[in-house]
Amino acid sequence: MSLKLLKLAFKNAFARFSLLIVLIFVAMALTAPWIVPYKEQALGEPNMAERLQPPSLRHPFGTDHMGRDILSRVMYGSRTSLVTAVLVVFLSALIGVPIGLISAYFGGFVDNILMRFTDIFLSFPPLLLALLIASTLGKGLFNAILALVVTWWPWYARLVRSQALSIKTFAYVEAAKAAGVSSAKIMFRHILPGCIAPLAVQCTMDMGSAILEAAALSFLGLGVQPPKADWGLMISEGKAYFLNYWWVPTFPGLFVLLLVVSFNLLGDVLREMIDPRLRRRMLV
Amino acid sequence: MKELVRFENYSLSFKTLHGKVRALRNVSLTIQDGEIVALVGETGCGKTVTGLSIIGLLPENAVYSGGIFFKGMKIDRETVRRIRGKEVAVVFQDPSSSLNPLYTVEQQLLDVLMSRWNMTRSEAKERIPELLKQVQLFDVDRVLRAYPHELSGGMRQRIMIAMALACEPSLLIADEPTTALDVTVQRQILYLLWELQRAKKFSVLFITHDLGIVAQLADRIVVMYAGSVVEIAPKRLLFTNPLHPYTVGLLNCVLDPRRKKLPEPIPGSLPSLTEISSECAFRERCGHAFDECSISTPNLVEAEPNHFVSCHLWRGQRG
Repeated sequence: MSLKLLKLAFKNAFARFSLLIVLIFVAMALTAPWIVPYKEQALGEPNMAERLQPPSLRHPFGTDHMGRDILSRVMYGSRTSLVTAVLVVFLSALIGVPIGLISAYFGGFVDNILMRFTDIFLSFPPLLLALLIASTLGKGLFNAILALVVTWWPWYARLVRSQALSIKTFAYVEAAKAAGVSSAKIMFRHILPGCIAPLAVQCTMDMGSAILEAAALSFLGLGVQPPKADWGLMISEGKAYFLNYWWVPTFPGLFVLLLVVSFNLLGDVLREMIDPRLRRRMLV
Repeated sequence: MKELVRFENYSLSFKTLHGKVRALRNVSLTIQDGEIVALVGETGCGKTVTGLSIIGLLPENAVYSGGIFFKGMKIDRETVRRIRGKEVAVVFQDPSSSLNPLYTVEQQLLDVLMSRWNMTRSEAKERIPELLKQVQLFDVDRVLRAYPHELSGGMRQRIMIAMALACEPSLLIADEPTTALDVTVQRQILYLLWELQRAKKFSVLFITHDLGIVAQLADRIVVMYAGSVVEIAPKRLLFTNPLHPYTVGLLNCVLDPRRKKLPEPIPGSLPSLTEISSECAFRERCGHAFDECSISTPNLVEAEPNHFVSCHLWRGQRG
């Protein structure tokens, strides 16, 4: 079945394009230490002799205010962006999915307690909470990820809960209960698999948003700290030079744009494949 | 014969926004070892809820009083775990939705065997062909590899039965197992159930609204109306000498090609289950109602050996 879906996906130009871009970025992140032209500069070593050079053959994306090769730094930056995205989404799902499942399955009192608990987390503006966490626990990539997870898991809990509520009423769940199957097994073997489709869409879409949010936190100085390379940080550092040296913040910005758009397209395509009502549109 | 299940003054109601819905009132009945008991009555009379009560599969808003005893043990939240899928198995009405569409038939059968008997995967695999042959499925390889949607309704119901039998239960609850099937398949499934029951000697609680099925299959029949048991009798007695006016009405509803007569429907419809009244629930539709009927609900009395009825009319005749 999944093979059929893959074949279907490859008939669609958007799907091919977005999947290709995402795969290129992943490959780039994995191999960055070996393929970047100036590894030391990517890691932060200044090179004041070549400050603010425009794009050229030697530096295809130019150099920044410390003379570092922007191409190398942008490639290195994909590592933090992807790690952040994957970790944020994975950890949010890891917390949110069981809570949503338990909430839906047991219902009543348990449901109320767990859902009000999630509501508390939903009521904080994400950026404000991130600022709070950064100021109490300190700045850094790990705390930025933590801040995002804390504000994101409730969405996963809600998504899974709503899906699980409908699956729970199906006769095969009733039949499993009648056969004496344990609650945990019913939740994870019979209800969770039915939630996977919307969950996959949500995860893919959220990858894009997580990259954006992580870049925003770095831009505000709460995420990755200099001299490490990160897209948000590079845009933040380059914004002062934008009018005279446009290439400094532009290239990291373009990379953010490209990866976020690709993840969103991929999420869209996934949703269309999963929802049969949208499937027809996709084949056109 | 030993007693397997006993309902003792079991009442059940559901709390809803519109008040209490009284689903079952003072149900008392027994199922003996190795016997087929049929539970008949029209839609909404509490047949299914009676069956599900045995394994505690009730919604959260259910409130009950009285008790159900299984092999002498009172069924509650704790003890019910010991009988679900072990002592009692259920075959549901719609086989197309009772199997999980995401797993192959083999996977689902393995799950049942492995959790019921603590078998290893390979031990369970060896048992499966025999189980399928029991339910007359011979194309074992194809069936095992199939997902539920790839099989016909009859095949799916056979698999449900195989899964139930894999537990080697002492009681099988069959909740309208043939309603979703067409008539020819219905006959095969009924015959299969009957044969298996004869071979393995388990008890069956057969829930149905089809008196034709009852006539073929059951040893004893329990007739329910509006949440109460109105008549209990061995099959032959019920068909030859029905005592409750509702049972008589039900029998008159059956189309009999030998009688040159159209079936006669029972006038009126089920009373509301939310109203609390002391009168006999069948009074408004009953052609024989008299003063006593609007004053009190009749009790179940033994009118002749093994034949129980709850009707003022009968007590009136006797006394």
